[in-house]
Amino acid sequence: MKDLPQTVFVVDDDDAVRDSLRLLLKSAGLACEVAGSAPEFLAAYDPAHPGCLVLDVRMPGMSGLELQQELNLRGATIPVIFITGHGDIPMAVEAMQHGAFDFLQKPFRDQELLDRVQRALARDAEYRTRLRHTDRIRERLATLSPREREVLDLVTQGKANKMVAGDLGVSQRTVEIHRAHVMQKMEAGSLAELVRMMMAVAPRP
Amino acid sequence: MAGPDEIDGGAANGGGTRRARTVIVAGQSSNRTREVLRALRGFHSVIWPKSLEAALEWTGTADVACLVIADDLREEPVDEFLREARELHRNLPIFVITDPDDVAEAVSAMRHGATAVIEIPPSYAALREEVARALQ
Amino acid sequence: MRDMGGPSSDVLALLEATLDAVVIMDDRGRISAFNRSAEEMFGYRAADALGRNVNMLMTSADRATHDDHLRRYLAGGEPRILGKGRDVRVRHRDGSEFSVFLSVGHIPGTDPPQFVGYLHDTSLRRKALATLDHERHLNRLYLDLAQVMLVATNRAGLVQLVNQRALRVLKIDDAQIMNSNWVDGCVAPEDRPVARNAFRALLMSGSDEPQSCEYHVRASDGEDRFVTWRGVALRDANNVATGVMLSGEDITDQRRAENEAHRALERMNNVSRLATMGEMAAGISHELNQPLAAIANYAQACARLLRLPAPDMPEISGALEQISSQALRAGEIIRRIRSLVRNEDVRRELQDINELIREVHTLLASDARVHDGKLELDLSPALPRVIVDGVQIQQVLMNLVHNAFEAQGNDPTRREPGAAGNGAAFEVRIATRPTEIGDIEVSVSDLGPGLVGELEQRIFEPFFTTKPTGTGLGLAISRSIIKAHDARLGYRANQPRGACFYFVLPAQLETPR
Repeated sequence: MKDLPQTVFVVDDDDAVRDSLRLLLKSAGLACEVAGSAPEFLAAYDPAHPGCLVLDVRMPGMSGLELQQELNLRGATIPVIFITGHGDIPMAVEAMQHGAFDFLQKPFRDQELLDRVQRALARDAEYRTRLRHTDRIRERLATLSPREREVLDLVTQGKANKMVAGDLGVSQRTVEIHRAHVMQKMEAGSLAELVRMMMAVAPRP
Repeated sequence: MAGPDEIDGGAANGGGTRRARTVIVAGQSSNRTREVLRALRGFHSVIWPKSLEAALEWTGTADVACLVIADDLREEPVDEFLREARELHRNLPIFVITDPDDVAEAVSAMRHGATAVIEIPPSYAALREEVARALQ
Repeated sequence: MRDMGGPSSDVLALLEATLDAVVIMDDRGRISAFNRSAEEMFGYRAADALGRNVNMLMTSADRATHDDHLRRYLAGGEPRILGKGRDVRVRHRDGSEFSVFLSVGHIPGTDPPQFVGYLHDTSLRRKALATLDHERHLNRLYLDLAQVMLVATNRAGLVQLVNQRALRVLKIDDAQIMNSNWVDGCVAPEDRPVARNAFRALLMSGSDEPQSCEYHVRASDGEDRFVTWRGVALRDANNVATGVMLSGEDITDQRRAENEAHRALERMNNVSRLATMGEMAAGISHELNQPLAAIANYAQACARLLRLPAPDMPEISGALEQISSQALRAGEIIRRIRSLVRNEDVRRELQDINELIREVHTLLASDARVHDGKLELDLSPALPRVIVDGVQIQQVLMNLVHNAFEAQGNDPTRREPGAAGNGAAFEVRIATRPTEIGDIEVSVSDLGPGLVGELEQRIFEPFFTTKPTGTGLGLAISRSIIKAHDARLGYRANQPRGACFYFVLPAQLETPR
């Protein structure tokens, strides 16, 4: 939903760090929501809410890494920036291997954090756009009849109408009609565009 | 063909038809690169290509087990090379070596596609473990 | 005894009774009386001696002298021999010579003159004197062979007797010390009052029990030696003290070694404490990074806010307040660390054990975090206070807690830290509770693998460690710290699993405040 503004979610159990981050983000003009623990964050988290997550690695109870894994399990795609008062390379590598977007050691310069937050927000926006885009493609695909779907698949493989008619055992004229319907329903302006749409929704290898 | 330097290998080949899996080491000629090569002694076919292009070529061969970026490169920044290699090979294990405690460098390498980052010193053992795993 | 015109029978009877040998002779030296003791002494029967010359009893050397003396006396000269006793050598019938004490007298009213000689066997006396001499000599040897210093003084404190060892320690000779004042001459100035008091106490004490005392003596070259003394009073027949006898052992080197050992232990204590602090460095740096990060964020935020057209003043002033308090927070942490690494002498004070634990809670909790663990405090309220060195007790707690987290981290049977799940994987609990008799038990327990098999015996050994970079000193030193507090650091298995290290501190009875 485009209604919800991009928000930076901050999760840190240290009161002073949490509050100071809130103020820093506010001073940079960013919307911000804070939580003092991972469970507190999860309880209020709405996957439709765009933004990014600034997360302390070590917290009592559920740690930052555990929260990241929980989000992975839920299929959440919100970019995670880890911050830590004590970090070492193994910890950073592990976090990144589990899909973290970035990793930063405290104390940090404001620009360092803000740059990464901006990058993360951009990544999140880009991903959501793509998601909407592929969602729409899938919606349109769903409106095709089985025969129209067959024609689409063969045409996007690069086959000429004549070949398609031969494969399906129908007349070339029939193929031309189906093809026109497909282009219209899929809202594609050209064959190239149609091919791109199919590639966008193709499962990744 | 004038091939790159072969540091080790051949010993395990023994005339059999199965070729050993190779470990490619990229890095400028420096103490750290030499330390990394020393740490990898004992593994079959550790290859240290003379140029970056050769290194990229080697990563394209079928027998590559992993790529180890041991140090800075003469030709271009490590992150750049990393990105190129990763673009060519989605699944190739790529290990980057950094100075101890340089978290920022490690994170940057991970963001550009490294599989893992290893501090040297002290983690020679960790490097050997990762390479051994990649060779399986 | 047959008389041949000699003394009357009354006299003879007298002579028979005496133990001394009695020989009566005439002016020509002819024996006219020879009593039984003389018979025994010389080996002649009286019958064989009577009528013979007395010089048969003398050694050849004396014979001439005797005749000489006799003639002179008879000629009217002074008695050379009469009236005085002297030691002479005489001859037994069997030819052997021996000594007697002889006194000769002129029997009054006899004419021709008769002389009586009393002979007292001195060989016994000589033997006794020789034995005495020998005993004295042996005693001297004993005195001088002794490893201890021996000094005897009279009532006035003047030295009457001193043995070789004492002379060696004091580096003087006999002549210099005899009859000098023991305390003023040989005791180090600062210890003289102590020595004098001990001396007086000995003289005045009624008993014969040895009394002990320790003080420094000063050698002639100025070197002080520390001696532990045992003394008794010397008494006369009326049980009045006539002086004192002191036996002393030079324990200077031993005392020095003890002090060295004590200092070495202190140093090891410090090393171990620093090592533990070093191992906790990760937690400490984390602890300090938090307030520093907050300060950095607040300050940078303020800079940005101030650049806005309408700065948010409440936020800015709030942030500045926070900056101060975070800086103070960092200062506190540093102060706490400094107090834990300082090298000050041991200070025993009345402390509340729960307070001590709370003081290091922050640091311990940060170590917990670094290990993905949780630190629980289970402190009984209203516990009596204890007399301890707070820093040392905190050191022990730090060591135990840190070990507990390390042990759990190395436990392969536990799942990986950071794995998905609620609750910390590793928990360490510090508990205080009163014992049945009102003392205080402090325990640190974990849910790790516990101590298996021989570990339980060896874990307190110095330099024994299961950690690759461990010093192996932490537990050994913790144990000795607790021991120095008159308590014992013990181990027991924790329920349902894990280790529990505990110690019991004696409660201080105080009047209610």
